[in-house]
Amino acid sequence: MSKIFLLAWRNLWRNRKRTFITLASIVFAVIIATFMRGIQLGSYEKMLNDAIQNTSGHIAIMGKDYWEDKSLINSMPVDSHMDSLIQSNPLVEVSIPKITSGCLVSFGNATRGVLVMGVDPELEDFQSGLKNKMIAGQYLSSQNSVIIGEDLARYLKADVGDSVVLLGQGYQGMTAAGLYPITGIFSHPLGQLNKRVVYISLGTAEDLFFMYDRRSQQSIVLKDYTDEDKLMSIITPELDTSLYEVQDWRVMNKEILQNIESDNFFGIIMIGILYMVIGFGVFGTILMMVMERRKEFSVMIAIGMKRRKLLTVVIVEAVYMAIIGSIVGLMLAFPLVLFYYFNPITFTGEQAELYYEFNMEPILQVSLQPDYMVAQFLIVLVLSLIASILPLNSILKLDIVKVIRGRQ
Amino acid sequence: MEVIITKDLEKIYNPDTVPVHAVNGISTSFEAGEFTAIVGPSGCGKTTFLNLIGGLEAPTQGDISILGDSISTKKKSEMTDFRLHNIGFVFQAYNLIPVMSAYENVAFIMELLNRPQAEIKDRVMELLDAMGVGDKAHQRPHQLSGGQQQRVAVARALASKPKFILADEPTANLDSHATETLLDLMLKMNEKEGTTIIFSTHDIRVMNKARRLVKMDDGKIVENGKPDTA
Repeated sequence: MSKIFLLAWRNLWRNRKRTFITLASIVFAVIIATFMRGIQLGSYEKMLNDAIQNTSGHIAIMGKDYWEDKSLINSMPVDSHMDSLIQSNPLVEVSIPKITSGCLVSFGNATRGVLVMGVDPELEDFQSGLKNKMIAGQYLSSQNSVIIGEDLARYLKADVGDSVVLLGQGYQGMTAAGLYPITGIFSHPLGQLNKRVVYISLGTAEDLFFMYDRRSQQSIVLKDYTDEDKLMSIITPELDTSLYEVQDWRVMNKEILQNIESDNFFGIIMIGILYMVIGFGVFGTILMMVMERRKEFSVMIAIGMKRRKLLTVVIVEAVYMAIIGSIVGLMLAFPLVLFYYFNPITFTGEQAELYYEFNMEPILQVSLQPDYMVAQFLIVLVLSLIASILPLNSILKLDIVKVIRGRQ
Repeated sequence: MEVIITKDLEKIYNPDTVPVHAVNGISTSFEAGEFTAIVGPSGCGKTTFLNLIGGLEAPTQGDISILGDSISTKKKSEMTDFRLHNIGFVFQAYNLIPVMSAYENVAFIMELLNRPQAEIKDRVMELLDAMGVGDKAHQRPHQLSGGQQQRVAVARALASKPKFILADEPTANLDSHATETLLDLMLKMNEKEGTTIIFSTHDIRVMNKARRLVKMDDGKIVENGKPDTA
């Protein structure tokens, strides 16, 4: 068997130029595909992380039917036993109680429909880093005050120190209305948070919406998102299912996931086209390698080498090419991926505006997940094996006498 | 002892279009230890006859028995195995594997037979020394002359100690000195190892070295006997 590997290795380097050109095409394809895929998956990870960090969390406990109808009537009572169970769980990074409801915000003649988010200021900052995004005034405190995004402030023509009116519907149909001073303005990279969210403290939200000892939801962020099922299995049996329900980030970010799915499909098509082009190159090389050695193969069969072993030699040659090409490609792509992982590309100008409109941070983050890199290796390997099917078939059909006599 | 017996052997190419009787009803036999030349003009059927008794081609009609075993009905894969164990081949164009050294080319057959490395080493060096190319053991075919390559090819054919060797015009590409040397070496190995050697040629100098001559014409044996009588 070792002879077969040695023979295949030497055969590979018979025509060095051709092998180098084929390897270069594989290397080039792997670099492009790895980087493209890294950017694509990185942007998905960023989108999901933004959604999880800023709104949903990995897991959310909410009142029964709240997910279907986000009315405060479907909110949940505070369960201190559950709170302590979650807070003390080592899998949990942070657990944030929230009271959220749609309201109208008004200042002067300007009014806009917004989402009012009642949060614990410290926990919210821990989760989303909102404090660092303040551009004017102070971060949210427990006082009766609001902080708003710079776009909303611009729209309302309001500034720090001005007071806005919040008008909406509280728990059990009560009118929720109040006048709150703006203590701070933040600039959030996600357009929707800048334009349509008003942050107030949890206590203020309780008063505004008459949600005493009630919450819209409890968002839980995990230290490691793969522990989601583990935590779900701990929480779920403890919950009174007639009052509560639990949703995971997949359900809560369904639209994002659907967008990712369709975008991913086109990304895979693009990479598929790239690899198909390379596949034909590999096919051409393997075919040439077989066709130019037909006489040699015929002699080998004549002196007693089984066709099966000859096929193995050619397969090993294809595998060598795939392994060398993809490993060199990955070795060259990895520093590039690593660089852009730590130095993500930040868009400015019109491109940034476009991202902002789609509620995305204008940053191209590259994923560092190893699985898509391993996938490039496997794709090249499978591609090379597929590309060798036809050449292998020609070995099976070889008429050794005709070839040795030079008649085929 | 007869090692090869052919009975009414026929090979017809293009039977459905323009039939060509390359071998036309040959019945003959070859004894163990023979050093036989098959001679005749180009296109007389020498190579086809060698291919048939070497199991590279299947006859259209007739039977070939090697060591008492009929090979006419064997499957391709069975024939490959049969050749590996019983027949050595020497080709006109040497046909050594270019990416292997002389040593590796000779060892290749023994490795296919899964012989132990120590045995392979001894046998290969013994053969290369006997063929006068022991000092070229680690050179690749393109670094050897035509005569040296053909001597390596003969060593390769002998490596597995086959029952017989079939050589198709082994000296056709060699000059007179290389031809002489190769034939002397083949004769020496025939005597030393007792291997039956059957080769085709149309070179008169080569014919004179043979102990038996089989003359062919139009796919038939027209004369058969010792060189001075044939």
